Amino acid sequence: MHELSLSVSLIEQATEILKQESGGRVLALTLDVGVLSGVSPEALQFCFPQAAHGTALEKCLLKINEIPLLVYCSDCQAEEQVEGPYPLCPSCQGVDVAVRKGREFNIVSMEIE
Amino acid sequence: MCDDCGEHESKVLHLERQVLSKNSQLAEQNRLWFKKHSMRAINMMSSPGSGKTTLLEKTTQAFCSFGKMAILVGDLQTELDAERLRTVGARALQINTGQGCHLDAAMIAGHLGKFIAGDERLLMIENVGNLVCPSAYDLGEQHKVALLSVTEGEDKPLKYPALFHQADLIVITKMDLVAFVPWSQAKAMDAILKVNPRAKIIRLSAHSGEGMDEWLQWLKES
Repeated sequence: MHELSLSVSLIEQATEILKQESGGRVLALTLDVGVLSGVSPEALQFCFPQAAHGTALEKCLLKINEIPLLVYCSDCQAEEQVEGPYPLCPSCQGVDVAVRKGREFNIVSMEIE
Repeated sequence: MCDDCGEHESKVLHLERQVLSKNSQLAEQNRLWFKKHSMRAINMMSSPGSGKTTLLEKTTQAFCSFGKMAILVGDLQTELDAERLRTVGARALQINTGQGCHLDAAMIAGHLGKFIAGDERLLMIENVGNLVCPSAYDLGEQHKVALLSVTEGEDKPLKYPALFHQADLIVITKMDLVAFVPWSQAKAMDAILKVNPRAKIIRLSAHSGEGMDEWLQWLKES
């Protein structure tokens, strides 16, 4: 489990943005976490408050959008959303696919004051 | 307006920023450094005990005729792996991560231009034995290699898809033990195909030498 160190990176990143915006504290953070990012949303929710303690993100609400896999299948010539973490085309079960979404670990919005 | 005191203004910033952007920037600097020095850097990832260090011992002995090689080896504690590798003549440095479950780009960057002099042809990075966390951290390597030993079971790629999905090469290790364990090559291939159909696969035994030529060839051409 590496979500504690990921939480620390997240707080560093958010604190930097907060400074640039001359804000005092972060009220809410929204993240995109892809199913193939190697990050567990549950573990991140568990670790984040511990890491945020005593920082400008203490009491910050963490919202996580879990991003499913989106693949482009060369055989079907179509983008398809996949259930689960395996990059297979759900229509033809083909493996000749390019992953378009599902690897992200991004901050998408921050509410600050 | 603040709900508590009615004074502060709050605002929402819309961003699209990687949480690990600092690591990504450092990884990119590492990658440029490797390119400038015409060096290949390989990030080896697997569970503990799958044979990374043994493969590196054999690689040290075999690679010396092709060019200089250095090894950075990550573990939570001890110098044991670096000592093992130095015993067979490797230029190896241990990185102890303390409680850290993975290597990150900063841990590599600190050794470039120092322990990694720049005249090496190949840098092998043995990541901390772990099938979860190393997958989230780009080190600046050109290639990721995942090892899967026949004693672990053929379902590991399905259980840890993020790591196996990223690998350019999957090395199936301990093939000398295949007759003694319930390993199904067909199931293993199905599992790999499901998570990473593009990966090259090499079946190898560091002890018997099976697959070593193919591995060395891949390292030379990678």
